[in-house]
Amino acid sequence: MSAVSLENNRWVKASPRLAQRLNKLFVHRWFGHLGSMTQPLARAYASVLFCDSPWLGAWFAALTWFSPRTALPGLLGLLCAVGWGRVLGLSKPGEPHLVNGLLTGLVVGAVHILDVQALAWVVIASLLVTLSTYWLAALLWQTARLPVLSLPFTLVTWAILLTQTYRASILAYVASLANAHAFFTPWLDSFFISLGWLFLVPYPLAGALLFCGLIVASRYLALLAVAGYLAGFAGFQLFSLGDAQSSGFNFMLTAMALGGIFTVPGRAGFVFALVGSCLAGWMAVALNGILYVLVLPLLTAPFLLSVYLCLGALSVRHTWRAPYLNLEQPATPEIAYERARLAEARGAPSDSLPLALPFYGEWRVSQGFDGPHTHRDVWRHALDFHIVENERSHSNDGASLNDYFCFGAPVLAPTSGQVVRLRSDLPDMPPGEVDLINNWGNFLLLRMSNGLYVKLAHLKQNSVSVGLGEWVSVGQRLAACGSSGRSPEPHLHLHVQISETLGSSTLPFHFGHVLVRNKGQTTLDFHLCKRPLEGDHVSAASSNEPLGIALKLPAGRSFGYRIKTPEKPDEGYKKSDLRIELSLLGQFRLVGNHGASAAFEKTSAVIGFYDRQGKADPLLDLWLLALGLTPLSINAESWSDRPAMRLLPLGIGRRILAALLRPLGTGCDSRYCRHWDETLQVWRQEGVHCIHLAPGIEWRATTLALIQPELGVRRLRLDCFGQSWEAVLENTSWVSHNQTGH
Amino acid sequence: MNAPEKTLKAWAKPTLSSHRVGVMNKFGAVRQQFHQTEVDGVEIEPLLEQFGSPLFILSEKTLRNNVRRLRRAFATRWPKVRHGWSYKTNYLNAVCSILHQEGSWAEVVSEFEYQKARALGVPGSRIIFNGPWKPTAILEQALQEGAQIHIDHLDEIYALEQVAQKLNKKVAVGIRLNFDTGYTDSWSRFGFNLESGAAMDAVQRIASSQWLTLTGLHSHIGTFILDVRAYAAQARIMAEFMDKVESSTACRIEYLDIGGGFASRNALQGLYLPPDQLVPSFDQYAEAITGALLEATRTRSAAGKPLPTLIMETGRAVVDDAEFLITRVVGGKRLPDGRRAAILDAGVNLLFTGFWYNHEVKPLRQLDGTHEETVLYGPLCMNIDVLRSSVMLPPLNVGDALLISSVGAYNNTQWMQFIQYRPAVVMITQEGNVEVVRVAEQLAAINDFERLPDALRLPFPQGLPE
Repeated sequence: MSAVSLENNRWVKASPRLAQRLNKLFVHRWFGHLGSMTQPLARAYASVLFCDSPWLGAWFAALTWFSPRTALPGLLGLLCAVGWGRVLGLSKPGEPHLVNGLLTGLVVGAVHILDVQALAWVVIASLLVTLSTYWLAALLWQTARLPVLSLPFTLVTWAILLTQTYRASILAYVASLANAHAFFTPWLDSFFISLGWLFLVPYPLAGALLFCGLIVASRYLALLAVAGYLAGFAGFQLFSLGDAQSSGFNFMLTAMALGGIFTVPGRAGFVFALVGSCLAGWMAVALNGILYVLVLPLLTAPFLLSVYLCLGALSVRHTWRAPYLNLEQPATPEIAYERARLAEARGAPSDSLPLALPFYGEWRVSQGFDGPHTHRDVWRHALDFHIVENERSHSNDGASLNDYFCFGAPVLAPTSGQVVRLRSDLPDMPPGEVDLINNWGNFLLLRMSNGLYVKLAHLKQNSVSVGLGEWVSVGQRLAACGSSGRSPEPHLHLHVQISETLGSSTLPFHFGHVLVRNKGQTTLDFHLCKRPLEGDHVSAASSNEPLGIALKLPAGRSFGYRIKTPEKPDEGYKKSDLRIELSLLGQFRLVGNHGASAAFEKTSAVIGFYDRQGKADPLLDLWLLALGLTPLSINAESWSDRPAMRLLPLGIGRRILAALLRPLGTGCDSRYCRHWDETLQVWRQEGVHCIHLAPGIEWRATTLALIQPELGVRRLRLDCFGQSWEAVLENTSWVSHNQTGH
Repeated sequence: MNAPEKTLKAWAKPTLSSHRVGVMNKFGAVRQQFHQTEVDGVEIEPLLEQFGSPLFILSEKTLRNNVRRLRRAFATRWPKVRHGWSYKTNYLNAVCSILHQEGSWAEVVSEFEYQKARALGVPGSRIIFNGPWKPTAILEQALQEGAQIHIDHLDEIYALEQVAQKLNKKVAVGIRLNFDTGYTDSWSRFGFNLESGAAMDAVQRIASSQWLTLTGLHSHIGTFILDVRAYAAQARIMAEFMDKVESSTACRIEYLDIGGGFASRNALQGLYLPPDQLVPSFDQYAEAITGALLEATRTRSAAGKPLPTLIMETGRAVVDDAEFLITRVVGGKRLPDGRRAAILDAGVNLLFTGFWYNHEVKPLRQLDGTHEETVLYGPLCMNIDVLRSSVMLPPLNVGDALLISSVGAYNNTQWMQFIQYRPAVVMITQEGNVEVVRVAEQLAAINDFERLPDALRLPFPQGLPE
C-alpha cells in the first residue's frame, strides 16, 4: 500500500497495527489480487461502527447472515453502490456512499420479501444513495462543515418507504424480528439487540458478537457505545415509556461520533458525548411523534439530528477549548488521542499566536503574562524583557541609563508585517523616573498578515530605523531597547493587540524554537513553542549547520542499517532500511521496510516526527523513539517529548496489560539530552522514556543515537526490560525518483 | 597652672616637597590616595605571609564576569557569536579552563599553545589556530583534529595542501587579511594584504585547490585600539571582501574573525586621559562592529544568505583587570634630581607590561605623609627595570606592600626568569577560597632543564685558590 493511500485513509483507521497485520493475512495471502476489491467492501461494513479494519468488516459482514433475508440485499446494495460510484465517477476518500448503500440494502431487505422487485428496489435505492451522498456531503460540508454520516441512507429509505402503501404491516413485521429468545440478562439482551438492529440482526447473540468485534477494534469506542446507550436510554425514558430497543443504536452511535471520532477523546469529550446521547434519546421521542403519523421508522434520524446539532453549534465557537473538535481530520479515538498528546507535549495553547524573539542573545523575562505591575486587565498578555548578568540588570550603581545592559541593545521584528504606527522622539527616562503621559514611550506597531498588531514599546529615543508604512521581515533590526514612557528602568515591552488603537486589548502569544534557562538551572532547555514565565532566561535556538546536514533527510535518500534484536540473537545482525518519501500532498515520510511510516517536518531549528502509521517496525520505532523531536541547535542541551508507548517493543503480555489499563494508549514521558562526544566525534543524543501505566507500574527505557557530522545517524540503541535493540548504519543510497512519489 | 596635655601623634617620615604645578588636574587630586586591603573579600596581607612576596592574585569572579559581559555585548547584537580565548594573553591553565567553561574556544598561535590547549582537554574542533609559523607536525595534528586554521602566507597554503593530501581529507580553512582601516597602522606583516591584491590571489589559489576550501576570514588590526571606528571600518572591509570572495569563487564564508585588540582599563603611557574616560566598553565596541556589519550585510541578508558567525579573539580586555601583582618595598632612596625612589621585589621581569602601561599602584594600608612623586624600581640589575617612572605616593617604608592592578594580560606569559624566581600565582575563587594555580619557582625546577657535562662537575677542580 502506498503512503498516499495510507494517508488518505488514516481518518478511518481503527487499530493500525491490527489492521495492517490482518490486511497482510487477509488480503495478500488468502485472496491475492481479489483483496484489493474486497477490501473496500469489508471496510464499508466496519465503518457502520466507525471502524476501518477490513477484517473487522468481514466479521460484521458475516454476522449480518444471522438474518440472510436482509444480509443478501445489504450486500447487493453495497455492490450496487460500488458499481454506481464507478459508473458515475464518484469517489472520495472513505467512500461514504458504500456504507449508506449497505444500510439501505439491509433495510430494503427487511421490508420486502426477497424477490425480483426487492432487488430492483435495491438497485434503485443504491443509485439514489450514491447520488445523494455526494451531493449532501458537499452541501453539508460547505455550508455547515458537518460530515454527511448516514443522512443519505435515512432520507432515501424514507423516500422508498413512502412509496409503499402497506408499510404499517411491514414495520410491524420488522419489529417482530426482535422477538428472539432471551440470551443474557434482560438489560444486556436489550443492549445487544439494540446494537444488532444497526445491521438488522436484532438478536442478543449477534449483537454480542458485534460488540466483541468493536472491543477488539477500539476499547474506547466500545466504552462510549455502552455509556451512550445508557445516557440515551435515560433521555428516552424521561419522556416516553415506550420501547427504545429498535432505536437504541442511535444513542450508541451518537456517543461514538461525538466522544470518539469528531472530538479529541478526553473528559470533556466524554461528557459531551453523553449529553449528545441523552439528546438523541429525547429526539427519538420527539421524532417518533412526527414519523408515527407518516408511519415511518426512526432509522438513524435521532443520531443524525443530535450529532449535527452538537457539532454544528460547537464548530462556530470562537474560543479553542475542550471538547476540541476534530472535523477536518476525524480519526479513531486512539489516533486522535495520540495526536492530541503529541500536540500538547510539543505545542503551545492553540489560541496563541507564534512570534519570533525580538532580540539577539539571552534576555530575561522581567514581567510575564498577568504580571504584578502593569500586565493587568486587557493588557495582561504582555512580556517585558531585560538583560541580566548574575541576576543584576545593570553594572555600577544603576544610576545612569548606560549602566543597564539592555539599554541600546537591538530590537528585532518578531513577525513580518507593516509598520502602521510609530513614535521615536520621546526622551529616555532616567532610572527610577516614568513618563505617565506617554505611557508606551517610543513604540512601533506592526500589522501582521492575520490582521492583528504587534507592539514593541519603551524604545530608545531616535533609535527607530524603519519608517511608517515600511514592510519589515522577521528578525530585521528595527530599533534599540530604551527606557522611554512608563519605564522605571530600561526594558523591552512586547504584546499582540487586536486593533491599531494604542492600548487596545491584548491577545496571548508565544515564541517558537526557544532555549530557556530557569533560575538555578544549568542546562538550556529547548522548546518547540514556549510562552516564557517571569524570571525565565530565553534565547533563540539557532540552527547548527553540521547538525542540520547530518540530519538532512531529502526525499529519495535511503539508509541501510544492520539491526540486532533480542528476539533472534542467534541470527545476529539482519538488514533493514529506512527511506524518505514525499507524499502526494507534499508530506515527507520516513518509511520502513514493510510500509510502516511516520511523517516529519524539518525547519531550520528542529526536526520532528509524527503520525506514525503501519505495523511495528523495530528500526523505524527505534528511530522515532530516539530522534522523534530533535532540535538542530547545538546549544539545546535538553528537551522533553511524548512519543507513543506503542513505539516500544512490548511483549504480548505487556501489550494486553497496557490495552487494559490505558485503552486509549499513552505516551512516554521522555527526556532527552545531547552533547558532543569528542573521542567518537559524534553528538550523543540520549533519551530516557518513562511510562506511568498505573500507580506502581512504571516502565522505563533508554535510547541512544549517535549523530555523526556529514554522515547521519550512525548508531541507534534501545534498552528496555533488560534487553537491547541496536541498529548500525551501513550505507546510504539514493532511490530513483520515480519510486519516491514524484 | 597645668601643663598643656600631651597628645601623641603617629610618627610620619619627614618629607620635603616643593610647590609644583600639575599635581592637581581636572580629574581631581592625587589618584593614588586610596589603599586596598583585599581582593574579592579576601585579605591580601595574610596571603603575602603565606605565599611570600611578590605574589600574583587572580580573581575568578572578575574573569568570568568580564567574558560574560563581552559575550553578552556581542550576542545581544549579532545572531551568531563566538569568542576565542587568546592563549598568549594568559595561558595559565586555571585562566584558560575558566574561559573554556564559559564557552570560549582556544585561540592559539604556536605548537606549544596548541599542545597546551589539547593537554587541557580542549578538543581540536574548538581550537582556532593562528600565527605565522605552524610546523608541519602540528599542522597535521590540527587538521586531523578539525582545528580552525587561519593561513598566514602562501607557503602555508602549499604546506596545508600537502598535509591534507596526505590525510586524504578536504579541509576547511580561513585566511588572515591585513588592510588599512584608516584609523590604525596596518599590521602588514601578518596575513595577505587586501589593497595589493595578494589576498584575492590567495583566495583564488585556495578556491582552485582540490584539498582546501575557504570558509572564513580573519584579521587583527592591532592592539589596544581605543577608537571603535577602527573596528567598524574593519568589519565593513571584511564583509565587503566576503561578498567579493563569494561572488568570484564558489567559496562560502561562514565566519568573520575580527581578532582582538580591545583596550583594557589600563593607562597606556603617553595618554593624557584616564582609562575610565578613554577605554570604550564592550557594548561600544560591539555596537560599532555589529552596526557596520549589519550595514555591510544588508544586501546579503535581503538575498536570504546566512549571516556569518562573528568571532572575537579578545584577550587583554577580558583578563587584564582580573589579576593583581602584590609587591613589597625593599628599600628607598632619594634620587639626585630630588625625586623619591622605592625599590620593589617585583620589576619588569614579572611586569612586562610595565614598559607601556602606567599601572595603578595602591598601598595595602593607609600610609601617612604627603604624596610625592616617586619612581618605582624593580629588583633587576638593569637600568630599564622601572615599574612606574612617576607616581604620586606617600612615603614608603621597607616592608610596605603595594598592589599593582590590571596585570592579567601578557605578564604571566611574557614574564622572564632573569636573576629572580617567578613567584606564586593564587586565585580567589568565586566562593572566596584561595587556590594556588602556579607555585613559586625553585632552583631545582629551573636546574632540572640543565645538563652539566661530567668534566664540569667540580667548580674548582684544583681546590679553592688562596
